[in-house]
Amino acid sequence: MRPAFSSTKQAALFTFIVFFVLLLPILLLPGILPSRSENYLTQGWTTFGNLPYLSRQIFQEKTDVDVAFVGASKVWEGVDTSYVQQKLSERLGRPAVVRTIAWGGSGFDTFFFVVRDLLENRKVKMVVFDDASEESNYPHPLTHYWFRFDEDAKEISGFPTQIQLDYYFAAILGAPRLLLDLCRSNIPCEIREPDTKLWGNGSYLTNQLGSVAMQQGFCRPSKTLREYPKLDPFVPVTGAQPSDCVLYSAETKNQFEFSEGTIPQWQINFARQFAALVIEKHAKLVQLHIPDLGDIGHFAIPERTFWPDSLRANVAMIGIPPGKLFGGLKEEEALKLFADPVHLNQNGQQYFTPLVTPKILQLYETATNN
Amino acid sequence: MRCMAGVARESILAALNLAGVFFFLFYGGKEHFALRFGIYVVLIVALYLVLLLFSEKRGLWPWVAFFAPIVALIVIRYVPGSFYIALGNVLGKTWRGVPQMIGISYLAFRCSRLVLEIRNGVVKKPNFLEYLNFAFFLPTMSVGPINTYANYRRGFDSTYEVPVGRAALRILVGAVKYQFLGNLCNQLTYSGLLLDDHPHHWMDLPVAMLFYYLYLYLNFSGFCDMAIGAAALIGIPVPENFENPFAARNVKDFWNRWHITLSTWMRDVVFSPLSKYFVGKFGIKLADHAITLTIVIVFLLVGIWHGAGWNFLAFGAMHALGVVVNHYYTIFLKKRLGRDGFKAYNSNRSIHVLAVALTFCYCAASFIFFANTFSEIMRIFGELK
Repeated sequence: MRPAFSSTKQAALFTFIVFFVLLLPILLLPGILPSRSENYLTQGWTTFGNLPYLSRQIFQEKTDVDVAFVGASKVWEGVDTSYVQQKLSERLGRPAVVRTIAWGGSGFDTFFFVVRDLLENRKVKMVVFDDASEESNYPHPLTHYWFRFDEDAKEISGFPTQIQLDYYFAAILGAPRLLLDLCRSNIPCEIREPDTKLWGNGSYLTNQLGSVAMQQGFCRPSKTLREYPKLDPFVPVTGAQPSDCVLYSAETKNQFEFSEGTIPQWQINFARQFAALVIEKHAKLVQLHIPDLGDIGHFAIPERTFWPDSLRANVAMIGIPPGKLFGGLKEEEALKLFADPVHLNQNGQQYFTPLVTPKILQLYETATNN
Repeated sequence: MRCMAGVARESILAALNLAGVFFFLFYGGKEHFALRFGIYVVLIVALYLVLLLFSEKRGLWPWVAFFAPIVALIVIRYVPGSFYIALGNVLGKTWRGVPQMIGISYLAFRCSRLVLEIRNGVVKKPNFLEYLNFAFFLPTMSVGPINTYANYRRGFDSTYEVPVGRAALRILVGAVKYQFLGNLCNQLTYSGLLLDDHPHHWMDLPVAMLFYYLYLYLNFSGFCDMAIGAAALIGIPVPENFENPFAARNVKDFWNRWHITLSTWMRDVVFSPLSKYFVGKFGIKLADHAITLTIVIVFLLVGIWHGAGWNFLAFGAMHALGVVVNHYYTIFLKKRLGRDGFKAYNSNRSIHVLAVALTFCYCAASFIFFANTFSEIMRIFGELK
């Protein structure tokens, strides 16, 4: 067997390259790197979401946003933004601006970085989010695009060493692209209607305000392949009314149930930073419980944590108790509202959005009148 | 394991190899891992039976044993996915297409060459455990290098001892190349840079070509380093697969430095007998053209061996073109410059640097067909502004 190196010189060169690469995040000094908007133009948007749209909304559009739905795929696919915008416009008597700023992949880490970009570039009056926490101890798969050591190192200080190392290595992985971006700027992408088989194997309908409707029937995801059946248009007949959408308070607390302890602390830390940022920017913070299949069978709204305590912020929590949302539906009927165990499909979105919109508008009015 | 010998060593190695293959399939998260593991085992048993029956017979019978692994490779790799879906339907199974059989190309080439080694009297016919261990030898199972049985047996029949530290360093360096530097380069390859559905500047194309070439080298040679080091730890010699390919001065030289064990297999098993046959058929006057024909056939086979798809054939064709051009250019230079002039030409420093640079660019460009299907290539060019 040949030795690993043919000469000392070769070994020294290899060691130098490895150390140089390991130190890249530190060597890429603050101020010399391209702007953060470039990060959105370098990611595979057919995998993780409509990033050209996010880029335009965050960095190019300048008008104030009345309501921004932010978060991972549950938010992206759960709320019909056009409907909310139409209703808010009617209520305000002027064109309202409602946007969904969402993407694929859970985790409050990406959540924080994207919302920070949004709030630094646009005035947002109300931010609506749902639980985006990731139970595993791994950063978002695209962290190497979002996390830039020169700017963001302070955000991970105090985190467990393992997590800090994950972020540091993500910064190394992102370095080649940043270096290339220094040589030439990225070309902005046209926002186009997605292909049929975009964002997983399902079909999507975009509404141009950032949200998407999954046009497929229910399918449990397998390890390697997801085959969605066609959408079976379905309007559920239940007794659920907009008045069933409840705001957490001393009077309504028995309509919520909390299961503490499944969110890693570093995820909570990112969520806290997100909440602090929203408050600092004088925006109203609302947590909207978007249902998933696991909710069926619960009477009260199941939350993984009591968000005002976990986020250490004034968070308005709203949702519809599953007992009312799915009341009277047989299991096979309830399944017609979902594309998979986590995401509502178009049926579910069209059913859910009108039920929660009045409460969202009410919270908006209260917040902006104050 | 290096201290052990005989049946005990073979048995433990067999258990480890089988467990390793099962682990590959199970933890690879692949569908029907138990079914595919079964296919592997049945395949090895069947190939061994064919080897027993035909390898030492007279006449053309050994060719049955030689082609059996290659036929298995063709059936598994190149039969359209729709066939497997239809077969699954007949059997009441939901098969998705071609089963992903890790390392089947390498396994087929190892096993078919073994028949020639037996036929030529280089090695004795192995017993089943020996055959199983050779076919399934875990360090080289998934991406080679393609070992000969004679070389592999050196680890059993004579002492092959490599200092543990040296082998461990080889594994460590391989892991750094494969897992760290390779992944880093992959950020600027076709999939990492150009296939992100964003428009790109034309300058991104050579960037992707360069980094894909680096990525592939780091990935493949890093894995081979780990395989060679791991095999050395258990006392089995595995041949080298890379010899500084970036320093190649022409495409022919490139294949003497890149995936050396595949080149050697192709040279010994296809090129040599086929070129002899063509020269005999066409006559010595047309020997140069007969060799050209052989080169084209060999490189088309090299292309197809890498994968099922027209892009792999194009990859092979591009390398065939490179070697054929070099073949005729060498003939031209020898005629024009004479023996001494040709020697001087080859030792000219400037010409050498230019040749190395040209070869580097040509090979880097050729890997576009290796990395992408034609539809992906169309997408890439469609996004270039």
